[in-house]
Amino acid sequence: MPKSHNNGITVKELTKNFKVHEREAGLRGALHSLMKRSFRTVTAVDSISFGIEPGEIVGFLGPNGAGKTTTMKMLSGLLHPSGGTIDVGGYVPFQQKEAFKKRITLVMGQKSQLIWDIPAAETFLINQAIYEIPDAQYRETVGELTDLLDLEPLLKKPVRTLSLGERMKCELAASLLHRPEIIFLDEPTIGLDVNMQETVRRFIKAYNERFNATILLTSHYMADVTALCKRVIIINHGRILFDGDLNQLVSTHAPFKVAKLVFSKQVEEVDLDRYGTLLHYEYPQASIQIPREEVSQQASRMLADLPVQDFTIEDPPMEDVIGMAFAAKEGA
Amino acid sequence: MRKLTTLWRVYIRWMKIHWAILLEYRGDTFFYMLGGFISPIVTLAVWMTVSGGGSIGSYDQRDFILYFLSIMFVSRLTASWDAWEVEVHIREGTLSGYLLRPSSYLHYRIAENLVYKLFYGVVMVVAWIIAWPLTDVVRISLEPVHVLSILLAILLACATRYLLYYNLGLLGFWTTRTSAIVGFVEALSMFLSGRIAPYALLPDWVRESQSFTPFYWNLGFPVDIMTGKLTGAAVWQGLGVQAIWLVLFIAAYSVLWKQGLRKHSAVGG
Repeated sequence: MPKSHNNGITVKELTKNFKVHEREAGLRGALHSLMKRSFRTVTAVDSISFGIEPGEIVGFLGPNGAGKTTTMKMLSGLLHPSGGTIDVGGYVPFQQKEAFKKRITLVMGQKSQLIWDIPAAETFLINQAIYEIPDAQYRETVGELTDLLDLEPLLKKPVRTLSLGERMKCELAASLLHRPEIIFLDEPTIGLDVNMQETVRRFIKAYNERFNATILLTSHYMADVTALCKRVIIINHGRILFDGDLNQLVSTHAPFKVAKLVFSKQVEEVDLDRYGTLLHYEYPQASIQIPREEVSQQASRMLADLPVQDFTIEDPPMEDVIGMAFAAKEGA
Repeated sequence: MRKLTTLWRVYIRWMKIHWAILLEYRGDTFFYMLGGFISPIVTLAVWMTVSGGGSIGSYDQRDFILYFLSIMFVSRLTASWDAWEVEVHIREGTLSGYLLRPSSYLHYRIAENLVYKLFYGVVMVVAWIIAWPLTDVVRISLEPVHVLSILLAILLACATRYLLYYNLGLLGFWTTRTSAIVGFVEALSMFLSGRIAPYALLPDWVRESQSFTPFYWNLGFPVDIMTGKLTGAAVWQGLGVQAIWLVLFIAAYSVLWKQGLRKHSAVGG
């Protein structure tokens, strides 16, 4: 029984080990492994703990193989944890209770849940039957999703004929028909063009606001994270490197901004070094990294000293910030 | 009650979907069905040649024809291809999509099996009816008890053979290649099920093994009832043996499924 009806997630010391069968390449390796199989234990998730409040959208970031997908699979009940405890909306996911499954969804950008050989509309109907969605609610939801994601031309085509992006939209719709309150999104915008990424982002945001749904999201596109998530959890080698406010991450690990200049006349490289770290210079453009606290002082100096035609100050790209966070933790 | 209604709706939906897939791949379905008839026809031809127009043991020409027609009929109706399907779903990670839904993966699989069997069943019964006035070979006894025992035996054989292959597919949780094991079981079954020769003509030691493997009960037994070679108490005892095998396979399923999910690594992402 659920302890309390909320959409929160609590994870304590969650661990997942995989036993990997090792074998050398070639015939010799094959013969050797027939005689004596050697196993190696790989720790994909290493005692991580975190909590997510109801209605929160959290970005789950890290390089490939960091343990993001493995964690999501444990949170959605697909994988049995090797250690630790998980509470998702009051349930233990691996018990795979029907009531639990009705409250969650997991969307995997690279793994289809749609039935391959027939139109996506058929998958919608089987989900209606399985999730016991009343007709009226079903029609309403399908109508909304069709409008929001522009599905109309896609629903009647066999799934195998859809492009990756088209399939992803149908995938999202099929996974949200039962109006889950807790959503795990693994690379939801993969394969989508920039406009469609934007549409999906807006859609996720709107869904979250309307149903107060709790969302954990992984993405390789930083735009997804900056648009949707106030908070991020960064994981690498199965361990949490950072858990907190996105802005705080930027100010801790990227205590500088980048000035981008366009000159009207040729400038000597040595003249630019005086204002900060010169990142790039190729006439007429230059970018200079400046410590946050010096930004306004250096900016006015540059504008006074140099033949500036155009001038902007930006935060460093998210990718760089996360890269720096990794570098800092691993160096420590 | 609500659960049953839901289950009914889910089955109807899955069956409609599988029917749509069957139609999408109707060429494959046709050749698959045709392919299933080749082996019994070839075996029949061999036996007809060997018997040279006379009898072997208790089987004369008519008996051989009816026997192999019944083999075709029963083996199509009890066919199961789940070992391959389940294994692929596990190996490629597509199983995850079904595990996320609040409805057992087994229902999805059974619904598919039912659709193909209903289709084959209707086609074959129609063919049998057409042949009825044309030749006396196909005229089996239509006594109600006889028909009922045939239906029961086929039903139990269906369920047992289905679970046998389903369970073999579940071995995919432990090993990434179950096809070798399935191939071995297929080869055993070829001989022990009665597919190559009626049990009455097989060596004594094979006949003595019949209770200890499920193969005869999944094919030879229903066929022996159809052809009238088994009657009376032997029929009811046989149905009992079938029921025991079914219970064993259900128990094996529940153990394999529970343990397998713990091993499941939900590959891909």
